[in-house]
Amino acid sequence: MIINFDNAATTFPKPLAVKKAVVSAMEQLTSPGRSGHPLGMRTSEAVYSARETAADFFGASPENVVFTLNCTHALNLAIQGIMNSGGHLIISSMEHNSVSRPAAKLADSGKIRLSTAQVSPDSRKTIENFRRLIRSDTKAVVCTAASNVTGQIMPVNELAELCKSRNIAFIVDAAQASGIIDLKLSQGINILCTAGHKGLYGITGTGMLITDGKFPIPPLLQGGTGSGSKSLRQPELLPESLESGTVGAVGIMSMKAGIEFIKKIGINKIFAHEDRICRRFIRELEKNPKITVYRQKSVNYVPIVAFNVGDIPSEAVGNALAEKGFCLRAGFHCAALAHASLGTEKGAVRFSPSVFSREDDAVKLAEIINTL
Amino acid sequence: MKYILQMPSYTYAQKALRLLVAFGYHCELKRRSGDCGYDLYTDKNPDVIKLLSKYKIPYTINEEGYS
Repeated sequence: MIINFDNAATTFPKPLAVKKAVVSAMEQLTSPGRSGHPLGMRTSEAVYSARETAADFFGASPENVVFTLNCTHALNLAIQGIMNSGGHLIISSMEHNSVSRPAAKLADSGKIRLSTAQVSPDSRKTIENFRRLIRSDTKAVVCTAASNVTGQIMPVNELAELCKSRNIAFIVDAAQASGIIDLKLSQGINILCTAGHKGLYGITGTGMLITDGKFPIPPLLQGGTGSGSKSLRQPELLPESLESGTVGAVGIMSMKAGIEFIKKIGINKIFAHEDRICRRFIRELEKNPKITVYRQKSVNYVPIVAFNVGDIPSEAVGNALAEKGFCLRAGFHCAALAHASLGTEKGAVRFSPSVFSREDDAVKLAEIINTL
Repeated sequence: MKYILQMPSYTYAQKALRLLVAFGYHCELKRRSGDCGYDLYTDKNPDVIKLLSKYKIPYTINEEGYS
């Protein structure tokens, strides 16, 4: 018996429609945008239809949907691209390393100035912390839509408004929020970066950068795009300018099927189902005074629960649960800033259900945790 | 006679194709020879150009045309 409660890393299992889309793509698709033969044209059309599906889901234009390898790839394109000519960057204290590492690298090289805004349980204080850090040369703000450690939902709308009023690019890491809470560029997000293999139910090796086009993003990579091949210069138009090399048509079709699956069920229903499982799990954990759950009543969370069991190292808890067939992510979740912010020096264990998770499995898991 | 519209990428070619078809124009998408890219073969109607401009779809017009 293997039960996955590590869906914040990668959702597993995948919907049947996603599996079928992968097989179909492997059987029918080749390289998009590079030829006029039937296989090439069929693939190009399929990839474009996936752009349309993603664009509709996030409220963008199809040409502003850039397919990437994962969310880290998308965030690097956004951060390194927007900050290419220097300036001041603000990130939140709950960022994943996919934001904090490219930001730190740019700062270490002297190319940019970097500030970190402390996230508070009180959204108003969080917004104020961002506001205080804004300078005349602030070029971009990066904030996760929801923490990958605690699941805390960030005040995206208010931060978007703040950035818009100062003409600052607002980049959102939507890795943990996509498919769980409804996110649209119309909320004021300039660049939304997401993974395809988490809440969007696609396969690994998939992600997207979705932009409103207001802030041009110079490419990190140059190469073949299937267009203007006689020129030695990279095309300037999206999405090809940021899609050098053949994109992963199989993965893209899996993401398309995943998004359609979410739309069919309804994003609110998915959230409600997973949230109910989290709340039940927490109620069970609260029976044990040794357990610390990293949640506060006044804060809204996506369906993620971070906890620790007394002084037991989080990895040891994770290993003990793995022996019983339960898959949970322990340690630091590639989020140095977030754990420093929480004061979790030994990391934490993260519980994250999916649409396929069952409440009784969460109860069984809690019973095992309570025996540790 | 038709317009041959040279599109800067497959993405814009497909976007234009879907737009024009939705507005009732006959439209065909073909790989361009001589320079990697895609052409749209569509009705020679000034409204086609107005439509593409309205939706900010970039193109280069080649009016050689064909029957």
